[in-house]
Amino acid sequence: MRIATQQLFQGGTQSLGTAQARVLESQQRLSGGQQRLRPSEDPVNAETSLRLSAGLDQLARFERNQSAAKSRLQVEETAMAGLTENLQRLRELAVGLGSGILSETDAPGIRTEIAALKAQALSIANERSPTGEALFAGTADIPEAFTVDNDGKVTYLGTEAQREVQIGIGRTVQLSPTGKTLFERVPSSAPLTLSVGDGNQGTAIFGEPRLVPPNGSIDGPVTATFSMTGDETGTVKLTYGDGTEETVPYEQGLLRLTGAEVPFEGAPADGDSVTLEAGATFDFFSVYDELLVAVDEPRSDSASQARFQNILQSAQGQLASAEDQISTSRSVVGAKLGALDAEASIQGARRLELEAQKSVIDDLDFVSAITAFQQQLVALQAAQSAFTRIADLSLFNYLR
Amino acid sequence: MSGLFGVASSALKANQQALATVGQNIANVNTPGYARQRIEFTTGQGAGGGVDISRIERSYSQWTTDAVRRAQQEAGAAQAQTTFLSSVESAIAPGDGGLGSAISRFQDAFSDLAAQPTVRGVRAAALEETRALAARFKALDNQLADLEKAMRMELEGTTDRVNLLTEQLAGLNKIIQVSGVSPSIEDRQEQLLSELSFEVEIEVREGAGGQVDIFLPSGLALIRGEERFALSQANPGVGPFAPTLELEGSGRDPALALEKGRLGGLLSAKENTLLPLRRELGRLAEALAGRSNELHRQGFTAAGAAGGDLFLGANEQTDALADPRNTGSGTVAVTVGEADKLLPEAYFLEKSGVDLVLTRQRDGLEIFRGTEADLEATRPAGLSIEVDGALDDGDRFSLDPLLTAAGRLELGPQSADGLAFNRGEGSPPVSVGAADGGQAALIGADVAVFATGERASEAYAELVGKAGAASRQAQAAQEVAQLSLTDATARRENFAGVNLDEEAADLIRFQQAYQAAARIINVADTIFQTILTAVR
Repeated sequence: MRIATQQLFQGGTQSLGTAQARVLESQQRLSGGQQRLRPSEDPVNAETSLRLSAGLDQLARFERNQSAAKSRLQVEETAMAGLTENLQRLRELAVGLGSGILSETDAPGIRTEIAALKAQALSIANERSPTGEALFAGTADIPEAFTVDNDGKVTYLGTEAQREVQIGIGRTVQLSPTGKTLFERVPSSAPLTLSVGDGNQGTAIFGEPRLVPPNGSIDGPVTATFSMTGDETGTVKLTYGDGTEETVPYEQGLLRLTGAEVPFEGAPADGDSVTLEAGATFDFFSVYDELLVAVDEPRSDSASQARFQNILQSAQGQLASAEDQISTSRSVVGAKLGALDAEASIQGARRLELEAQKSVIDDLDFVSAITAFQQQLVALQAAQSAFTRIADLSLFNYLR
Repeated sequence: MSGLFGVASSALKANQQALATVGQNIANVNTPGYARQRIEFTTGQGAGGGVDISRIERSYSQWTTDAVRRAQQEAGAAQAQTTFLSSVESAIAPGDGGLGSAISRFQDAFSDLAAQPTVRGVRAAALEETRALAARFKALDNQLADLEKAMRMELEGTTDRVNLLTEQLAGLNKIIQVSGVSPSIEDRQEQLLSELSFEVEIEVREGAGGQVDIFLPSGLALIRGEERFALSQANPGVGPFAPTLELEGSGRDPALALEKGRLGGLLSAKENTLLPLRRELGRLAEALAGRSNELHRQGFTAAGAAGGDLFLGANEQTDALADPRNTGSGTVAVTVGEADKLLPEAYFLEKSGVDLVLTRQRDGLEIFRGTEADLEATRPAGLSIEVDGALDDGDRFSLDPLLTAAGRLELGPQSADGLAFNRGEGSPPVSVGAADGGQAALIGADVAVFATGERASEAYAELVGKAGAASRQAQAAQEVAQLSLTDATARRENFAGVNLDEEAADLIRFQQAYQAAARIINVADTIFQTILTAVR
């Protein structure tokens, strides 16, 4: 076969060029540690890799949300712990008042302490989140969730919507409850609440109301007004929530009405009244105010003693409800933190999985890449030496 | 005696000629297109007639020459495609910092804003990432537009080269007409045809006298006899209603069936890859911006005001390009009706009787047929098409709203205060200073932006996949074309090229023959002297 001289040189330079290009490409691959230098080297895997990256980006987004939610929930937990301690001290004071350990002479000291406890509770309710806005103001971007006026009345300034953060695909966590649900509308933990008329003059001390069959419930607030004709005789007028009235005979020691009954000791005076309510809610801060009223109540005779006891009992009922409210919220926060941790560990596993998949298609297999690089270097050297040898070959060298 | 002198001088002459031919071959060892010349000796006429040179033969093989031309056409197409498609690939997938990461960062920023809506810095970051995303879309669209421009320039250059080569070939035809062929003219012709094959797909018909006629695949002639027809680029303003290329003296489309050569490669890279990808990009921009805008308008700003558009320039009305042959006065305008139903296509709208017919430009597939009212109500392929004025039967319009869509995106809100990241639920519905971040969570979610369920991140991944696959295909074609060109060139060179060793051997051979012939004269002279001496 004939070989043209030009072909001899062109073939040589071409194979040198190819070998050099291969070595350069391998070198780029090795220095970058990447399997692909350009998508066109493997379009399918390039596309898959981008999809996996999008998945990883999304996980990173959720992780950032989780840590933001976590730091906020931790502040919330601390706030709840503070409130729990605050209410414990308040309960000690209430128990002391009820048992007579704390007498009227201790009143100024107790008053100061209750006021201080209220101020502390208010400051906890105005706690700020890690990002600076009021923690319990719902979605409002305001520095404080509550204001207090000169009369000690506390008003909520925030919104009724809760902040929500997405922590996973289709999974959100609600951040702190609003001040409205947490503080302004504390639900009573007893099924029925009893409030005693302000102007009661009798010695009756009312016990805990209870629901009785067949109804087992009362319809709206029911007010019972006593009309006494003697010490243990008279009638009771019952006014129901729907406006209907009923008069029943007075019964010593027990007030009966449709669906409920209230035991009492002592005797009510003519015109005394009590109101029963189901599912009542009250303001958290009114617990402190109620107790302050009880502290100021004189306890000289049996009538004022009875009024003191009735007020104290009502205040203790509210206190118990407030304690329930805070401990429930505290366990909800704990559950949310637990859910965050659970989500984080699920996502951690998912992240590992995605990273492993991505690594398989993106990362360079160094062993085979280095082997290929060595081979290409050898090929380049061989091409160079072959070329110089062939270029030297010419018959003209021998024509002298 | 004179016979001996005659034989010797004919041998001297013939071998001198042979040495000159060897010299010519050696001189042209590196001349492209040169075909090795060989001398053929014949016995001289009559007894003691010496030697004659019958002819100087040019080593030529029709088969190897054709193979080189075919390989050149493939190589020309592959080279043009590889160059442009790898640029398209680099533009769409520039490693880090591409559109994909801009989309991801935009989603990150809004997700952060949803989690921490009260932090001013997070709001500012969301605004900046929105700006960056719009800018990224715009930059990428500009890059693709620049590539399209570069393609036009390259097309211009290619037609210029084609015209230059055909002019030279027509010139050679003229010389052949006057003075016939010679090896040097044939060398030149072969080289020019090979170069022309690289630029454009051609069919060569050789005439008996050595002249060549050249035709395009569409059957239109580039050269007929001494006549040459110039190629040029058509005015781009008429869009798909006129061919991209024009041929002097012909109203027909010279690019028809043109697939090979650099011209074919360029046209195919533009029509089959660059424009579709640019429409895909526009579709993604419209869908992402459309969804974000809708959510943003439902939201409320920190000050309680309703949100405006997050991105400007999305869903903008564009005028459809009218066919210059239209006789009606009506015009057509397009807006995006449903951004999630868009397809990366261009369409023709034609009035046909009472109906309007919408067809896909790529393959003429009918998408919609019905009245004007139907068309506006149906929103075929997510497009809202409005016809204004009267159309005549047969009037046509070209609709390509997505091609430039990505380049129109701009940031909407002028400051972070304009970001409507609140859902504003609950009571009071929207209070001043409320920051629930609910709307930001929706905007930042990496969820489906298309009715097919495709997310923005996936759409971008697909874009990269398509660009990569197109580029890979071109590279593979380039490798094959390069191999077959190398192979065909090697065959041609091995047949017609010069081998210096061979020439060295010939040099010695003819030199020795020349020396021997000179020796014959010497012997003849000696004999002559002998006779003279004998006679004296």
